[in-house]
Amino acid sequence: MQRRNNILFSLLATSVVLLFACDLVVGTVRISLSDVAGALFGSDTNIALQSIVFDIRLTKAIMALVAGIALSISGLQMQTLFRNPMAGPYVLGVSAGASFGVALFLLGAPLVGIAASGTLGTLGTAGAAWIGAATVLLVVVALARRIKDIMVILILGMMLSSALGAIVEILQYLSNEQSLKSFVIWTMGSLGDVTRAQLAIIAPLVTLGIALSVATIKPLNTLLLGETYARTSGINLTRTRRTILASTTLLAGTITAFCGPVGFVGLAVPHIARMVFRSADHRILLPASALIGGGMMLVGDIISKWLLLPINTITALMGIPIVVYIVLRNRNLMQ
Amino acid sequence: MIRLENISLGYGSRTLLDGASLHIRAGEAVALIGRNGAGKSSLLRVLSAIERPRSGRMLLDGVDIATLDAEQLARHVAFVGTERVRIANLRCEDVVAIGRAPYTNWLGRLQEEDRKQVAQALDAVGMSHFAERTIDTLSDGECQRIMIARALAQQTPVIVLDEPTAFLDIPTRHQICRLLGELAHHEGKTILFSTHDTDAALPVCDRMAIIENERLTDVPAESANERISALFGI
Repeated sequence: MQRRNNILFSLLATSVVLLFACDLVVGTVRISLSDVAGALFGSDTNIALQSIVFDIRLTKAIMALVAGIALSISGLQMQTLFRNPMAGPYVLGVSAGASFGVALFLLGAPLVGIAASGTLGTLGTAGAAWIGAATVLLVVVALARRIKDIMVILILGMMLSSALGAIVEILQYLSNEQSLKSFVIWTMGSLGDVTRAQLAIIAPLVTLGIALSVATIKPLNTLLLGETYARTSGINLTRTRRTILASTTLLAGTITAFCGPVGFVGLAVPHIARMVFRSADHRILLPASALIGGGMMLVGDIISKWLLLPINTITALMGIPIVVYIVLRNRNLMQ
Repeated sequence: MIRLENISLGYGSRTLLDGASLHIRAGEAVALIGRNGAGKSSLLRVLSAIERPRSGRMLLDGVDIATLDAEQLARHVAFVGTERVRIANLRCEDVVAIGRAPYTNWLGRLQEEDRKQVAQALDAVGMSHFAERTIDTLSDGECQRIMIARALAQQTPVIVLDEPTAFLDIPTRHQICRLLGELAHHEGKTILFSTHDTDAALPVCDRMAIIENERLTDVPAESANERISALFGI
């Protein structure tokens, strides 16, 4: 068992490294692997080449990796917390909250005569998304304090999402063509708009989110049997819930803020991890989901560069068949 | 061992139990009987500190459980609920190992002693050969044994079980009740379990606690049948 896991982890890690390299090579401009290496390690001083490799491809590849890791860990946490195989990072309204923030910024602001563009526009969009996502989760956490039943929290999260979705639609309906287009493009997700400066904001936030998620490994394992068992096994449920929600805000909230809502990675990857490692132990599933998620986003990025399509459509088309397959194959996946 | 003092329970305007008191000695098996909705589960949840009573307190060896934190409590009382656990990829051994949570480090890593306790717990319920099986492949009775083993691995003096014989066939009901009796009388565990199955429970329990009309009555096993007939008018 241990041996099999070690082999699988080595294989996964190697694949992620290879996919990362592959992602650096693929793009609209043809650059060979040796040129990429030359630019990365400084032996090639071609400024245009360095700029493409460093500023565009490396940033984007790191972003893909980080996004995949963050969304998958967040999805794993949500699936275990809610004991629901269909839960994902967006189940509590992170995506709806982010969309709402962005909609207010991109659609609402022009309606009252304020318009932002350029760097301010991008940062403003990300900031609005982050604030929107965090606000929704704060509301959910505040409600969670008074509500004992985790399913009620799930339903409230979904209702809140729907309500925000409705308001976003009203804003869309009232908006002009141009702001509507920028909003729709944001909803499609993009790894390419992230700059190195933004990456410097994203990295610490996501790292903190990962650290919090590692701290919830033991509680998550006891939560497999449900909250009653977790509690009577000595787990402080309130603290656990709060840590998990904070972790998800940092992970899914941050990624959504900067890349838009990237669907299905967070939902599908934990299932792949369970299937591949045949385990329910979060000490295995957490790193496994992180690696598989990182790899899947890199594949998504490579395909999206090839076909020149938004990343969200690619992850959906990759993720949905996996989820369908797993649900059909194993109907009593997690009760 | 366990002393309930003046416990009152209820939801909203509805009162389930009014001023219930009960004393259970160490090594006793006590069955809790009552109609559906009479408050059996609620009382057991109070005993496991999952819920708080409206008033009154529960003492464990003289210590009020309200003063214990989750981890301290988990070293005193283990709980087995009615929820059916059917999770793919979760091996029985790992389920039982969850019972070690109050003793393991922040990552839940098992030490030699933890592994020993898990093996002993599986052995005590006669499920050692199921250690490697995943829990979703077990029958209801086997699953219930694993959940009891999980409680045993928690190494608590008290085990509280909510309807451990529900969903089980007749022979398995008797087996589970016998197991609970053995754990009390041979292993010295203090066991309180709710059940509708007086036939299976009576031969193994020392006493019965009956909830009727918001009252908790404590009856010796020998006279339980008459009291049940009288109380419920059957």
